[in-house]
Amino acid sequence: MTNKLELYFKAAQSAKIGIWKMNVQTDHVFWDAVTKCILEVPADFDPVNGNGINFYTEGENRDRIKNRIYTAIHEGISFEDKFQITTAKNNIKYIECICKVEMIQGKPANLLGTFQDITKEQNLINQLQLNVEKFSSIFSSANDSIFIIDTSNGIITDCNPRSSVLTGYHVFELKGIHYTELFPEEFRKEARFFLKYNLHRNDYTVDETFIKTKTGDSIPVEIASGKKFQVDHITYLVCFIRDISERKNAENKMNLLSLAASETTDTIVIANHKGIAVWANQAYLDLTGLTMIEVLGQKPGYLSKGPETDATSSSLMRKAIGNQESIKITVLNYNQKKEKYWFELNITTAFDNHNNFINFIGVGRNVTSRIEKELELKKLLEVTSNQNNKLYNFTHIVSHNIRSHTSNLSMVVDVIENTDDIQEKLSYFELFKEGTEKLSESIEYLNEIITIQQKTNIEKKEICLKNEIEKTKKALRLVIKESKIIITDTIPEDLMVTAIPAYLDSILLNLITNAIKYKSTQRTATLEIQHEFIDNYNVINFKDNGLGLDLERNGHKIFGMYKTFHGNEDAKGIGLFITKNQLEAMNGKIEVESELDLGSNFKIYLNEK
Amino acid sequence: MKNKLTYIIDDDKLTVKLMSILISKNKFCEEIQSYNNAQHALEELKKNEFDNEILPDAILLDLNMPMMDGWQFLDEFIELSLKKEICIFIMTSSIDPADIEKAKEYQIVKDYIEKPITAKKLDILCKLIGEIN
Repeated sequence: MTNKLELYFKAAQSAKIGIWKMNVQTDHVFWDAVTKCILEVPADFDPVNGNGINFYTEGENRDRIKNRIYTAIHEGISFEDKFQITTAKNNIKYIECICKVEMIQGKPANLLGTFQDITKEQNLINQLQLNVEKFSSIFSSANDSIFIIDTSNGIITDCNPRSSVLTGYHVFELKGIHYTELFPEEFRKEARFFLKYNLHRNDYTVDETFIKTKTGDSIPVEIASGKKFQVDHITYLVCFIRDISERKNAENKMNLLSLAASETTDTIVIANHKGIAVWANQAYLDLTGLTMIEVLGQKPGYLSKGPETDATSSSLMRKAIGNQESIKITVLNYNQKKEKYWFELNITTAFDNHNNFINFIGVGRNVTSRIEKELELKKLLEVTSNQNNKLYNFTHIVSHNIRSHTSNLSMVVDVIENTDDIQEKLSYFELFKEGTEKLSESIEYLNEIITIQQKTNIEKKEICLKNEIEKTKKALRLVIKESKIIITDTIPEDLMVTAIPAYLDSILLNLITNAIKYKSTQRTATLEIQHEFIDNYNVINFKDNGLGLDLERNGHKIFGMYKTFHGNEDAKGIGLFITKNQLEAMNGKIEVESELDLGSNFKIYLNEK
Repeated sequence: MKNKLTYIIDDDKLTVKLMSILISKNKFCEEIQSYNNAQHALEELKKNEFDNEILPDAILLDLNMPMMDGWQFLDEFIELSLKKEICIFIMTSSIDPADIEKAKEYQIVKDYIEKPITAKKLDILCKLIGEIN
């Protein structure tokens, strides 16, 4: 027996299992070396009854052991339990205490027990517990739907609450169905393939597909599967399914936007805060003739300027970009072939949610045809208003000049009527004659002007200007000689102008005659005839040193009919009016620069287009 | 007769001749001075600035004239510091509404008369002068 016990002790000791004993009658307590070691008391520690209880951590543990010991002593109930203790050296340990009650004559006599340090095991259990809690909390509260699939038969064995939100099924409805039922018909094969692949690979992979909800809707999802695990020879696969409808919608929207931006016929350039291009669409490249490489990293438009590009527009645009402001502007640009085009550009500024500047977005289009039409319209309008003006002037002339003569005539009639004296009546006859003569003279002038205005389609010819001037000077040689005027010209011998010959004759005659008529008596009269070419016009200057005139006072009247300024007897006030009409009939014009008592410069513009 | 001296300013010599005949026949005034050039009339007025006796009582002014026209004459006339009130009548063959409107802008213009001048029209002027003086 002793041997057996000793053997037992030894075995227990080597297994680090402590032995303790308590005599119920004598209260004698025995702790073996292992027990003392666990409790971290000295080997010579002599325990008395009640010592042991104090090692149990105060509270639930101590209450429980007290309770257990009490029922063992009084009711003879053995126990087997785990406790937390605090050792003599103040270390927390977990122990397992087994207690057997030895009964003598039906009454508990001895308590025999083992005492085993299970701290390591307990810590492991605690950690496991924590992990379980951690994972189950992830499982239940994850934003993704998590399915655990039995790979042996494809049945969903578990899923989290989120799965229910995603699919519209209750969790209990999901458990037990085949996973493929979650997918629309057309995606089942794909899903099967995906999971099968994952079963082999054991990698974390992600795929996009659709799932079918309880109501039959298809929802775009991202399906991920992680590591599989094995329990009881069955391999389970964990699948994470995430609703990506929002992302998909945003993606679709983005795709549409980028499609619109790249396919629109409007040009789009996006520039960063420094005004440097970071993106351009095909329309922009097509319009400018530039390549993407030439556009990116540069300020947009730097290659589009040309000689006729308006500097004001360019500086307005620079200013707006400098101030990070929006601007709408139409500029004349040039493509790579140096062809002009009108570019209507709308630069807008983009800010993020925090009001930080992000980009300039320049949307533009080629509006050449519109602008050309506008310009043409403007030109037409000018022509029309010019015509209207002419018509108005003409009407005014007719009304005034004819009326002034007819009113004279009616006044003659009035005085004739108001006298009974025949002699007196006859004396008015001369006045009547004078009136009718002036009337017919006016009508002749008017007729001449109408003729000029009507014959705008007479064919123009190439005429050598130098020859024409010489011809006119020859015709006027007597008056020129008499007036002692010095006429010089710098007209090139070979200069050809396009004009109606009769009109050019008349114009030259009139302008040279005028220079003679209105010469100053204070100095030797001179007339210089010079030529220059401006735009599409051959411009001929007739510069004299004559009387000149005050343009501020009389400028508006100079080319009118019957306007004379110097009170000359032979001034009829018709010459410049006819000259102006003849030039206009040839799509030309006449301008004058003049200063009183210094001279005048009449510039005639002959249209060569 | 209140209207002693009348100036006629008109570049059309025939008109001046006819006006003179009509005026003297109608006894519109005692004396007529005619000017074919408004500038000359203005110079005459300036010369007699302080002599009310030889300043005219009325001026018949044409609008459309070479060199200085009726409007320019009016603009310069306003600048003169005449002590005598002179009745200015615009007398023109223009029936342009713009001219009639423009004439209204000049306070010194008493009336706007379209040619031809008739005995009846002169009567009206006579009355106007009478009211003023």
